[in-house]
Amino acid sequence: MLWKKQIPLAITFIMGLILGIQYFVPSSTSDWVFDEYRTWGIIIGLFGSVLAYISFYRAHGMRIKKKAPAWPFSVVAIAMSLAMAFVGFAFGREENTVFMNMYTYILVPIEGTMFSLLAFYISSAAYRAFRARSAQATALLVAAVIVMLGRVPLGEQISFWHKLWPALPTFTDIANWILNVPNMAAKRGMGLGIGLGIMMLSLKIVLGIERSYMGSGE
Amino acid sequence: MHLLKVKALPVAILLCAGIWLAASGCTPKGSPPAVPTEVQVIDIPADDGTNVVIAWRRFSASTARQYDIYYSTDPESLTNEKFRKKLEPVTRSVQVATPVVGDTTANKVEGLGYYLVLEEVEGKTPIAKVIKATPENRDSLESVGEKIIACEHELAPSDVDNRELRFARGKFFRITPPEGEPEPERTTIENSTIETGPEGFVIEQGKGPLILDVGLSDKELQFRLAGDRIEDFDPENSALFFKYGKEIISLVTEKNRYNLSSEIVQTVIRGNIEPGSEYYYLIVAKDDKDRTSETEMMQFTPVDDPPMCPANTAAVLDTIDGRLMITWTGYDPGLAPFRDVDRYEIHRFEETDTALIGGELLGTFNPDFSASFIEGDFNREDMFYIASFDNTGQRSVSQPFGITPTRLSKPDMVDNLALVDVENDDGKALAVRWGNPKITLELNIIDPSPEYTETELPEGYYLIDSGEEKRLVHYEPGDTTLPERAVPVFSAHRWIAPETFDVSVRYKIFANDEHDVPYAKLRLDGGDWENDYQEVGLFTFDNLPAGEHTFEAVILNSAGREVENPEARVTQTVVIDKPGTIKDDAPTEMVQVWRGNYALIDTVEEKDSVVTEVFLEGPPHFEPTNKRTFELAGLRGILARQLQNSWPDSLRNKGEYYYFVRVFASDGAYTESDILGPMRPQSQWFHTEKTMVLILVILFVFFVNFFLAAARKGKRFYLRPIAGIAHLDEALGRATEMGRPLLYVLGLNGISDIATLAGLTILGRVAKKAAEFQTRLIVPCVDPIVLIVAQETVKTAFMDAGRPDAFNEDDIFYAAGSQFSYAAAVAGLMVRYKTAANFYMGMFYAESLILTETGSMSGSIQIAGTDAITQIPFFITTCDYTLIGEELYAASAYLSQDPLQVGSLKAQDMLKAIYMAVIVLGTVAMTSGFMWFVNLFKIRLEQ
Repeated sequence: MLWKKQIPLAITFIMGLILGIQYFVPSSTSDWVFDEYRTWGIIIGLFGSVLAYISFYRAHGMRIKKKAPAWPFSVVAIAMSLAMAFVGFAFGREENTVFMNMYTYILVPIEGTMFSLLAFYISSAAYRAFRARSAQATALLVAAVIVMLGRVPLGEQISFWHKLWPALPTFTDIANWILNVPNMAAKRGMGLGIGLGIMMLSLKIVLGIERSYMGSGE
Repeated sequence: MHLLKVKALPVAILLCAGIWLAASGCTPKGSPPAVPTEVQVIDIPADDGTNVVIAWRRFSASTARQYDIYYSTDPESLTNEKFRKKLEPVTRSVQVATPVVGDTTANKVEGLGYYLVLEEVEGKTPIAKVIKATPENRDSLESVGEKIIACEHELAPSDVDNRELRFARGKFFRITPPEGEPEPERTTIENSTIETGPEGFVIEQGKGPLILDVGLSDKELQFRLAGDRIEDFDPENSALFFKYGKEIISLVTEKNRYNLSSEIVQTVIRGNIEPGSEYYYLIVAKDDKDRTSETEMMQFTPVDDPPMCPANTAAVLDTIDGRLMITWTGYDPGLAPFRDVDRYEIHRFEETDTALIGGELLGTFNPDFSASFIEGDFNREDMFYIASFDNTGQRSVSQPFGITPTRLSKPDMVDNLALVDVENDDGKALAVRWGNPKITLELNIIDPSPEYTETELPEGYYLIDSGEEKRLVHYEPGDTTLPERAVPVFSAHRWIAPETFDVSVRYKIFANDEHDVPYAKLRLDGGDWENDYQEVGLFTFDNLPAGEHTFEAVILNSAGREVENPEARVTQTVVIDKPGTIKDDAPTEMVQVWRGNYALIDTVEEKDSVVTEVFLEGPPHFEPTNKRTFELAGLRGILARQLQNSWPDSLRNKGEYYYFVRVFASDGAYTESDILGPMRPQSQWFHTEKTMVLILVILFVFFVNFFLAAARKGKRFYLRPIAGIAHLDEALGRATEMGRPLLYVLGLNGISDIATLAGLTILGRVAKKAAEFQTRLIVPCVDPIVLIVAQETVKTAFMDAGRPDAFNEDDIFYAAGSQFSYAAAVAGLMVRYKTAANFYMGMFYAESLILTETGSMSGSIQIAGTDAITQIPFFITTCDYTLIGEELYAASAYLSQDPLQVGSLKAQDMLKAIYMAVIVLGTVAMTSGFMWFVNLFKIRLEQ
């Protein structure tokens, strides 16, 4: 229990206190503390990555062993991770090496392809969100259409009323107002709440009130 | 043997063919490059006689790519190839334009009837004359000249056709005027009006802009109306030639191509020739195929000239210090590389010394000097001369010159000069500050809707722009004295003064950080004050009636109170009757800040007891008491009345710094301060700008403890239902019933992100329920540390639920390290395992929609929680329940219903109430000018 609960809680409390004080002290000692904290974080992270790779190979190895659904993909994952590591260590990671070519011409295009799927998902999500099934959804639909029109040259062109009565706003003006006034107010309100929430959770973790990240929290 | 012969025959033939081809390829064919013409030797003036320039003319179509210049005192060594090879040639490579075949159809000028006649010049390239054929001269032109059929504006390749390439001097343009009548253009003259004077109409300095309708001059009209033609270049009308014409590179006749375009190529022979000796030289031109042609042998004799006379001499008497400052220009910048000066001598001129060889010697200076202070007893009537001597003792003297009358007066030293340690700087900065806050006003007056009346001008009016002023002049038709720059004017648009103007008043505050004066207020004609708490720096007054107005401005400190010193207030009365700008009365002094900082800051002991001393960067040989050993740290004079120096981390809290300042008046006179310092930058133990943050943290801790104490005493607090959390059990139950796994995603960020920690707290609760329901829980991770903590969290939760056997470590695994690889891995899991419920708790980026849309399509119940504001709309659209922002952090307390946790939520609510009150009070304070309250919450972290 001592190793599982008390010592981690004590470390959390002491480190929380030190870094809290560090924030208010503009001195070289204070900066040294913060730099050391970051260095330690990097070192611990490096040890953590070893465990992560063990976990990765073990999870995929078990899938291959059990012939889990789509297990050949696990073979590809293990083979490619080993291949990348091998060429990286064997031939270096500078420009125009095998490692960088594999990264630039295989991994980057694959990730780009995944990113490009977002365009289709946004369309389907927008269709679902903009169905005017209620008053709120209708308001959302109208606001979204105005903002979209306000962001393209067409919106400015079709604002015919502005040419007749220049005092009336164009789609661009209305879109800017929606983004800068009601939208900004909501975002700032949420931002304040999030800031307070972060403060509260940090304090609860430092004081040991919140322990569920260590397990059950009991 | 016979067989050998049969086989050897074709080999021999091939061998011979190869040798022939190789030999033909190596043998230079065609004509050699043109011999350089018009060669001349220029002796460099005022040098030591070891430099000459050799120049010659090179035509653009010449095939020469390199010129070698051989020279020697022995003519035999130049005529004999064997000896010449031992000489080091001075070479000059030539960069030529890429050949382009011009559009010959567009350049055909046969129909214009021009002939080319060559005028031979002894020893030089012939001169090309282009003459237009008339019925009278056509026969004679046919006999002495060649008809021009085309002109080329680009450099054509030498093998473009079979015509012989010849070179001729001349600069001709093909003039092709545009079709149609000239369009009159308008010109605007600022702040002028047109009046009727004794000579007719005149432009007078007046009110508002004057717009004139102008056209082309008679000369330009005549140039254009002369039509399509070839014309000899006239430097006086160069603008017209470049506007309407294109330079001719080559003129093409039936037999020849005459290349006209040429350049003077020159190279310098430097250093290794003896003055007075006779040298012989020749130039060898080479083309790409190493074909050569060379000039005849020529001769030159370099001369050691006397040095250049000192020019631009001036003497200024500093009446304050009694010193004389003498300045001069020793050498023309173009001849500086050939400077041959041993020393300069400054003498006092005596009227009897007409040869300038005597007079009191005031000082001797080395050749790098071009100015000097001379101490002594001087009168305003004194005259001086400067003599320069070269290394052989030759001498040149300047004209005698007197003292330039000046009224130098030392400016006052700035007030409140101080060297201070900058606060909250981590011990890395010092600042020199001075002066009192000062405000100035600049007015920009605009006519909002200018109106004009049109006046038709009779024929014969021209606008003449001398650069300094524009004049309207009347000329009679045919007047030959009409200047070239004169532009005909047809009508003038006279500005009508409006009744009202728009005026914008820009203010500038001259201050330093310590003054703490960010704001100003302004009033017009004694009316109500307008405050500028937004620090825009500008007040605007629309529709201000024309007439006299008074603007008053006062500097305000950060609390919104008026600053007391006299310079902090300005009153400006102006007559507003025309558009324009009224400049501010900005200070003209400049402040130079000098710093001395060469000091021992550390000693480092290395192996074998070798001690290395570590010094600050700065001028060597620095002495704290000697201002001449200081270095210039910066110049100030515009707005900031301070100079702040910041140093890198390695110099923090180290070194002692000294400063002094020089205040310069606009005439160059200056005053120096005493030396300030030494001072060492110091760290502080508390960042004073973060005081309000500390107060809020203390307040928050107090509320947390207050509500914790209340919770411990048994007080129950109400919690608003959060739909996402309330339906966690429903999602878990559904997964159990369907026999499918749960998927829990902790976002992309590491363990240091509070959102990830909040996700882990909820994971603990979810894992415990999953263990109780015996449902499989899959947690793919992207961060190694988060993976380890997640494994531990789930394992402990399963143990707490009494089901350690159900825990499978392989279900909490490292999926991928990059964003979209991770998204692909998690989406694959959803599709393959048909997960019944997906939880997304943590920080998400662009991958959020990829994950949740895939989950939505695979029919899972989805609950998301994040504080990433940009991703919340995607979660709301695609998930069944979403924890928005702070709800993510409240989830753990809600799930546990632990009084201590719920009590902390109440503390958060209390602080939120205080925030709301502060926002309302802040709005009121900003509106009412209680800036001290607004500034309580400002944090300046940039230092």
